[in-house]
Amino acid sequence: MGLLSDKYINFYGEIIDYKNVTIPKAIGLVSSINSGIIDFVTFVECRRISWSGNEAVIFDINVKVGQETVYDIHDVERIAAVFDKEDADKPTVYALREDFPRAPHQYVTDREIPRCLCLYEESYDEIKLSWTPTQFIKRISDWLSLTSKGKLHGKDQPLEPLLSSTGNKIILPHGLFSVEQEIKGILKVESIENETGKLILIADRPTAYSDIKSIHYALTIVGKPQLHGIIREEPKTLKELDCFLASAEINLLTSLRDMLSEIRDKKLSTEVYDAHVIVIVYLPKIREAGLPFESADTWAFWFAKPIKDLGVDLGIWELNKGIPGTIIGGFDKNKNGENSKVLQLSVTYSLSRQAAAVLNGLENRINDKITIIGVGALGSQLFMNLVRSGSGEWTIIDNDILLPHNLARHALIGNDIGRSKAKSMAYWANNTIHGGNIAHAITADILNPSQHETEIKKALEESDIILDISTSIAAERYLALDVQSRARRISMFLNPTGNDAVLLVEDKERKTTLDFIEMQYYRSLVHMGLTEHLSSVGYIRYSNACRDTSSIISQDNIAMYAALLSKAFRSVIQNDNGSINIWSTKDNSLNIDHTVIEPYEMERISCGDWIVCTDRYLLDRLKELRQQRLSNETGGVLIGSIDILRKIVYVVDTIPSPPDSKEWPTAYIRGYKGLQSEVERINRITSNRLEYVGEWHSHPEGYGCKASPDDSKAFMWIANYMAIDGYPALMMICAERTAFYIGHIENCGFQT
Amino acid sequence: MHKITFYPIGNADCCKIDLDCGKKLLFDFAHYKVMEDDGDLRINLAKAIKDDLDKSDRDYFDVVAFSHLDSDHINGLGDYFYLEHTGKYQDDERIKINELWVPAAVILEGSLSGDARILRQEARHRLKEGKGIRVFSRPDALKEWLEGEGIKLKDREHLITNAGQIVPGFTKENEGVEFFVHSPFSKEVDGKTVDRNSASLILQATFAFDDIDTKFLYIGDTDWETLTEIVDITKYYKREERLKWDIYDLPHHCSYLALNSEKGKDKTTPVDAVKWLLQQGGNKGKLISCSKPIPSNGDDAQPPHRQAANCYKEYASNIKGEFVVTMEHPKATAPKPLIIEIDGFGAAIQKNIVTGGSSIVSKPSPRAGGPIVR
Repeated sequence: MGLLSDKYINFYGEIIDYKNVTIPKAIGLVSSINSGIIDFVTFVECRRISWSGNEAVIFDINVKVGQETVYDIHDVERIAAVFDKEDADKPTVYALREDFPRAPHQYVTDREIPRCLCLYEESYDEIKLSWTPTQFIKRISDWLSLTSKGKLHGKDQPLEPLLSSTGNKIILPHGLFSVEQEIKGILKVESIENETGKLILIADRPTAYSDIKSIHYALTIVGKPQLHGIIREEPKTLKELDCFLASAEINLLTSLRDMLSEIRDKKLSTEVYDAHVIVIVYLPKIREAGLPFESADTWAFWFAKPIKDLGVDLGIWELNKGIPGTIIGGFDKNKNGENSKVLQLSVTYSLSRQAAAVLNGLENRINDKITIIGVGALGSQLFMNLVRSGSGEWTIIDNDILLPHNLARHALIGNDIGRSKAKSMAYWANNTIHGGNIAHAITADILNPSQHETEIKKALEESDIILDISTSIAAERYLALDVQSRARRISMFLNPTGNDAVLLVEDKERKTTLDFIEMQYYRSLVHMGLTEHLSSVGYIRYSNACRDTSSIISQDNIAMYAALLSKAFRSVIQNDNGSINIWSTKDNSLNIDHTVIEPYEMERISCGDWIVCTDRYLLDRLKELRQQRLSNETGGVLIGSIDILRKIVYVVDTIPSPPDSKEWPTAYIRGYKGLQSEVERINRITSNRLEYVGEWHSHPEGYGCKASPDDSKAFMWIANYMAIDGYPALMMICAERTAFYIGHIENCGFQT
Repeated sequence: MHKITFYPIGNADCCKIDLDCGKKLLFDFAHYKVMEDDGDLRINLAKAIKDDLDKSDRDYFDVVAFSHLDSDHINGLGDYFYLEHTGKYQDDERIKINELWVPAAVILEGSLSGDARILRQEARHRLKEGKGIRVFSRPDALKEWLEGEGIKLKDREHLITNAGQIVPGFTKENEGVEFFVHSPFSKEVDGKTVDRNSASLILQATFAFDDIDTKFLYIGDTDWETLTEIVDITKYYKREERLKWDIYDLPHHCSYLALNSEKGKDKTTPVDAVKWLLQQGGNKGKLISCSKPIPSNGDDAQPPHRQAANCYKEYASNIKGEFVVTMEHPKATAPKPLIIEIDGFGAAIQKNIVTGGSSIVSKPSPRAGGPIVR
């Protein structure tokens, strides 16, 4: 029983005996309540609403309510549940207490009371699947109990809209109407044909007057903050709209009269009177009384009558031969827009960078300037993934054009065949993200830029990140070594089968550059014994390419790795470290393995006009081997790669002293047992990117690392052999420190 | 949130407190359920409590308090609790007690039998050992008893709390609750005969949650004379806030004697002091009657008395509060434990609408699948 002081309103409809209820769900509810299987509910009465045939079940419900309440819900509330005769709509639930509070998640009907509770977010078709009387009662009980604490609406849940959507929409350019100001002006509005029966308008700023096919006058109004969650019915006339906006302290009629008078006074062309008005209202919402503004609803209303007739309905003019005249005394107070129909439009904004980021779950948008080199299959898809998340300000460099075979695995579509991939990608990116261009294209070969040289130079200089997806080692080396820019270099590619993906990332300070990270990647392949990784399927490649340009790879793999790499890309640029990432999957397997390797810091040693690039890994390895053999000398061969163009020798690994070597305290003769097969194995795994580059041997303690006469002879021996390939000779002597001799014996450098 | 659970056990008391910090306290225990009797709607208390401990993966209460030695507050303790004074009560199925709270009378009373005697022996054992016990009030007789056991009072003083003091070990800041002791008074125990009811343990618990205090008056079986005395003393010390309540565990199973000596025809009129006490209820406060359903008519000598209930209902209504009877909640035909949630919104009585699926998986299915016997 409720409090004696509680007064309930008499619900409408005639009282009927509960046995005469006919609607199945109502019968179910009544019998459940009367059977006593549901605790805390007491049957009151049933009613039938004669004009609709709907039936109401009225009952008292006893709910959990604390002593303190945010909304004054009582322990016992009287509820009327009205069931639709055809079960076409969800039961309408009213709270019958006269002073039941207005709270979030209520519908506002044409009457203030009884208050109508909004129980369900789901559509009735979904609810029907599991509707039972007990769950219905529980839902009401939970609604009341949570509302008493003001917790029905989760703290993390967004605020409720003020109106329910009608399905008609207008798409506004984001940021067109800022919160602070009211803008009255002309909009270019395009109506989109669709088969939904709903009106879809796309509005944009007109670029020129001749742009405007159909003129719309826009009026934006900002309202005062109001409590969210009281969902109102759609206003259907100007008068109803005026009433609705009154709760936000907006005087719509006055604003419209002002706007229309202004249009008349400006004496624009008469075409203006055939234009339609769109009122866009910005309505700030608050979560609870006393809390600050949290979010806003924006709604638009399209006026069915053109301006000339609207003015008549507003009582500001009469038409004289179709031309507005004036009314003496300002306006006719009796005309308040009862006859002007309005169509409620949900407002959607075009996709801004920020919105795209938010929709992708990114707290902070990535706004780095990124130059991407290569938008082939992988590059194009990865690029669009990043653009769709609002990430980056892009320059695209690619000189390729789209050909039909590309369509099997490219982000572009058939319309673009024959066009520049770079330009087409930029076009789609800029049409996906609204606002200033997010992408800018340069159709050029990065290695032979010809007339684009200055443009490319500038783009690279200004970049924060240079992203190489060119599948060209030459391009990668060029970007790593020959481009003047502070930008961090990142390279990604698939292996020839498309089963594996590789991501090479420089550290932010560029202590270790991309070219040397590439070398460490090869070394990792050898260490991990990944014999399949760089081998190609079915045929031997003359090109020797270990990054695939065009072969048989499934779009599944491209899409999968484009997704994985765009996610990885966003992740790696969040920290400053360099990394080597290898993802691999077996044919027909749905598992992907991920290996991350932290690169060693690069050490560059100048020897005459050559540079030796190596790292701690190798130097420590040599030290360790020397230590093991002391007091004898030991040695072995050096593995690496030679960049003839830039005169760089990369030294990353060693094959230690073969078992048939001769080791004495003051001399060393390297044997060769098993050496050739090991070198070949390394060649094979790395697709010849790593090969034999020279020899090393140790000196005993106290002898330093300077070359002895014997060492000079040995060096000459190496030099003769290397000359066959046009390579320089490299000899390293490892003592307490390491000496590098390269090209000519006098070209030496020391590492300490 | 903190939770207080009152169990439907007829005219008897048992109330469990689950603190938000995880500690569990039990106030009184009276297992009466007759399993063979389908008409006995009282809960199987021992099982309910065991199940609850199992759910929390523990076998003990941090505190078990017994307000006095009457059977309706201690019945079955010898069967279900793990007692330290003798190995007889020490199997793993039993409920362990970290700290036992008793009024001094429990230690001192003579010529006892059954559970009362078992509790006295346990309390005496723990007090002699000097751990796992708290005794309320310090009459001279307690000092004498201790001396008789060769123990100095000052060596046990830290285990004794007097009326007007806060029980050590519980603070609003750390445990989210403090207990203020109203009764027993020493002087009543010093007399030759010990009146158990008037010497019972009466506490005010103040629960803190989100800076909101919720006050719970735990009043054992107390008559209006003792209540009057407590009101007078509390007012004398100007500690009126110590008698404020949001949850009032009304005394003696809704007996009119906790209001007045006169029952009244349809409604008992409380004496002035009790009237004042009832007026101390907070907005939407809860009055809990640990009793059988209130009879609609008739004048049984035993509580609950409908006249007393009508009086409590009136005071509940005055504060827009609720008067709830344990054996009527949620309905007299199927009473269930009455759970009060205490959080930043004060006290609220749980009223769960139980849906089929969720309730069936919380109990065993009936026997099924046996062979057909021809």
